[in-house]
Amino acid sequence: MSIYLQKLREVQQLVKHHGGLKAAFLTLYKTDGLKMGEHKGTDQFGNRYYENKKFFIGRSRWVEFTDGVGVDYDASMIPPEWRSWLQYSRDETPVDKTVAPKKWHGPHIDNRSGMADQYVPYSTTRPKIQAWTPPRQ
Amino acid sequence: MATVCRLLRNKCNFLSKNVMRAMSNETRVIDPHEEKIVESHTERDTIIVDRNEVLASITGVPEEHIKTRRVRIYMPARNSMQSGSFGLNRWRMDFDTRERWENPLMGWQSSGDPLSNMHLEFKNREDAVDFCERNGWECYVDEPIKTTIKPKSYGANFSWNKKTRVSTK
Amino acid sequence: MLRLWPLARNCKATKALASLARCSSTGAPAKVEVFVDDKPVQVEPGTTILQACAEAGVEIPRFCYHERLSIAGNCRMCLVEVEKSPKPIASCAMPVMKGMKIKTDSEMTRKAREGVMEFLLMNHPLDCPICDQGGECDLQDQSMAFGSDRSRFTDMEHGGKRAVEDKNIGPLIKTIMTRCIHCTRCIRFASEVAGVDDLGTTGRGGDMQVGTYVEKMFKSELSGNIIDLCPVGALTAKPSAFTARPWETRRIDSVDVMDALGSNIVVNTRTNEVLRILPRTNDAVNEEWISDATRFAYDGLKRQRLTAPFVRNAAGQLEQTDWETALVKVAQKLVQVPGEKVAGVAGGLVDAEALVALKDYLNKLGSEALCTEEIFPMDGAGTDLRSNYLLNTGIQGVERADLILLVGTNPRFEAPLFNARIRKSWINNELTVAVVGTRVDLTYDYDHLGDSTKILADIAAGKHPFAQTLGKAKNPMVVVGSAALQRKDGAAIHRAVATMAQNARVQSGCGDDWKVLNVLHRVASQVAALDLGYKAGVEYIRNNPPSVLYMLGADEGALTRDQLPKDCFVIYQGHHGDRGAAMADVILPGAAYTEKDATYVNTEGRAQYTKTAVTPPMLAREDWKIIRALSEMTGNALPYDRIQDVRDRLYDVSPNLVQYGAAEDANYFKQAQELAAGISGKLEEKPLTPSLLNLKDFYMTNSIGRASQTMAKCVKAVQEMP
Repeated sequence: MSIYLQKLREVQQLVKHHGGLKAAFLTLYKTDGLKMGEHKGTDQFGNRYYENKKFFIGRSRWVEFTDGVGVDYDASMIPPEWRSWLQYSRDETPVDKTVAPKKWHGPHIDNRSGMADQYVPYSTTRPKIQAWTPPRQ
Repeated sequence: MATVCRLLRNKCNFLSKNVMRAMSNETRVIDPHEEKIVESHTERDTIIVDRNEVLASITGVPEEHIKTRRVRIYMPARNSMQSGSFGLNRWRMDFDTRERWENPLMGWQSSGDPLSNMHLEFKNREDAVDFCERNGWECYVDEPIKTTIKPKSYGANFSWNKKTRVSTK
Repeated sequence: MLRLWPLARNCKATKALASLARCSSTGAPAKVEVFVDDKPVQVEPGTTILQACAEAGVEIPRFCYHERLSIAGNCRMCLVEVEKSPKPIASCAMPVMKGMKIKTDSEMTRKAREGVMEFLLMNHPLDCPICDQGGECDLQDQSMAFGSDRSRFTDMEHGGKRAVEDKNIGPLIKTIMTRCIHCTRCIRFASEVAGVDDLGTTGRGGDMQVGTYVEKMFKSELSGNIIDLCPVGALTAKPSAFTARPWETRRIDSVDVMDALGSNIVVNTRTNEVLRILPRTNDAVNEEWISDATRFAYDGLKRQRLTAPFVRNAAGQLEQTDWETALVKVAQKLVQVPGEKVAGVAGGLVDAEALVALKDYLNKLGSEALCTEEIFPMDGAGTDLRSNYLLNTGIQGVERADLILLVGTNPRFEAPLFNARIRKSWINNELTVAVVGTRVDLTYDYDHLGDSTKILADIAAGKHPFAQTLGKAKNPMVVVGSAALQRKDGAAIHRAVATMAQNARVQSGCGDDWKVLNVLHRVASQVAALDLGYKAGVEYIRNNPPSVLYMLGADEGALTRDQLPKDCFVIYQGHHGDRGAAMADVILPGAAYTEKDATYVNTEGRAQYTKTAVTPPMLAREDWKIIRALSEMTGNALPYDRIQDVRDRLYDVSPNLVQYGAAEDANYFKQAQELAAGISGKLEEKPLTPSLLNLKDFYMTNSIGRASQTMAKCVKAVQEMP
């Protein structure tokens, strides 16, 4: 019986952690799961990063995407410095140890496929036929 | 000429020859040894295949590539860059050139024509025509252009009263 | 050594008798029997051993020997063993003798070949991987077949390999003279066929060099042929250098349209581009040569192309559009105007299929105003009798002629291979040539009778001494250039020429089979257009101003905008943006000769066809299909959907148009003569001057040539290089 009570308490804590019943349901809907963890930081886009070492490696770090995107999120929205922490390439978060910006670093752009400004491949070969242009009058 | 040949061939439609044709590729030289075996067959244990059977429906070639293609049957001309004449006394069949387009990414050429790379060679024109007819392709034959070479003499270089005398070297 | 032959014959008396008996039984003129690898062959006396072997189906390796050049005998590759001869014999220069026993595959022959190969390779660079000839190199192939399998060349420290400086002989031919094996084919071609004695050798032995001695351009209209002749990679094509390997290319047999001869060509393509054009042997037309315009103007097919339809907008600018818009615009216009106010002009590069489609279409609309840009006198029999406008004797007929009179033409640049044929006949058959017209360099000697038209009238009337010469000739030819017939007095010139031809025909007693009168055209489409019943010259359109003008590849500026009514709607259909496209209201992009299956009839009336080698660029389409689509739009559809149907229609109009390869002859000179008697035109005082006088005029004679950068370089080089 006590086990059930404990579980109930955990659920209560989870819901509280996620900021109420409505917000918890929203997170569940968006991420297919409710996890409790330490909030390690937030990137420039508003994505929140969490860690809970009670989970095994592979599930112990996760991201909750910024609320603005709704369910329309994908992994390319994570900037590279957070991505490397998220995928266990680094131990410290960019908050704990900032990444020195390099000259060649560009602004992070997520995958634009399917959008109006998506990347379209184009031929880099020279045209084989030079077309005639009518004389201007 | 082609029709006469075909008529003649139909006249002497020996069973053995017929079987040989059905079995062997037309372009192959018939092995005399093989022929002997076939001649021992009787009419009962052979299947007679009509020479002009149209195979187009069972070859598996898409209909589009049967109905719309034209085949040119010709004897290849000697490459003017070289003096060798090997392989010039055979009959070739070529399909008409179809549309090619440029691949938008790399600029490579693409083609939707699987027959463009098919070159078949035949010993004579009738074989080539028969092959095309059996496969349902419309074909036309280009007569080879004959060149006659006149006798030449080395002495002409030194003739004293002719313009063939060589000035420079 | 020669004295051994009678001995050999005596020894084989029985064989000789047998061969004699065979000769008499066939009844042929005494032939000589020789044995090639023990196989008896009957050959004409005077044949060389090499030719006898070819007759027997044995090919002797060779470098210097070429069927259409004189015998040099200096490469020694054709050495063969002949029985009873102590040394191997150079088969290309040795005439056969009765009973000769030639061994083409004996130990001695093979050793001789291997030795020659070794000497040749000793001073030949091993740069096949970067050589343009690689893959179609005689030296490469023959060293694989007959050479040694290892090298004994070790002299790297002292002598090393021979190295020769490259020569600059113009923008067409790239020379890498280190590769030269001194076969002298190029030298012999230059002096015998091209008639330009520019190339030669300097130095002897290891110091021998082939070149021009002082740096100069090889100024010939046939210069490109030495690229083909070169058995190694010493002479390669500059415009197509390092573009593709020969085994990667697709070869499509086709026909040339740069002049009216219709030279047979092979179009080499790769990745949907024409990479080079090579000649295809046809004794009746171009033998084995093609002119430089034919060979090198192909890069004009990639420049200044019409790749999409254009429509002139309200601001007077041509605007790119799609097929539907353009065709609807044209169709609307054609529906509005009455049929007889529509006219058509055909240019020089149009094929017979497009010509017949346009003619059928305009006739359906109710118009008879179909003209060609090129003028031909329409008076008298005009173009009704085919014999009036053909090169009746045929190009090959030159070899049987003994006298040629050229009137107002410069065949060297108007039809280079016809000129090469005259030169060949002049060298080998003692042909006499006379010229009426401006004095030009024809590469052979001729009697210049003057350039006045009065001479023509005198010869026709029998007053000129040349009339007697013409009458005495056995097989005379009179060739009038189409340039001369462009003049106002073209009809009178044609009549004078026809009269003198007919007189010569009667006087010389050459028989009915020999035709004397010849017209040498300059553009590829003219004969087909006249066969189809087009009116020659745009005079008719000038007299009957049209509301809609359909220009089918008309680029030579025969009709300009100010000769047409102000509101005339001009449709241009063609493949190049040139004079015609610039003045059009709607442009329909067509296909060039390498991009369509098309029929062309050459100046001797020989129908030949081109084959699609590459796809027309972008939105361009085959010409007859465009007209067919347009006819559908205006509601009077032409009754053909496939190329075969168009050719059936051609057959209905004039069967000779689809009898490919054959020159349908015409023989109505007497009737033409009678009809011509009514022509009233007077000869003008103006001297007879051909349109192409110098080599620089030769390169850019049509829209393809004008678009070609190679041709532009040639014009520049001819003017600037010594």
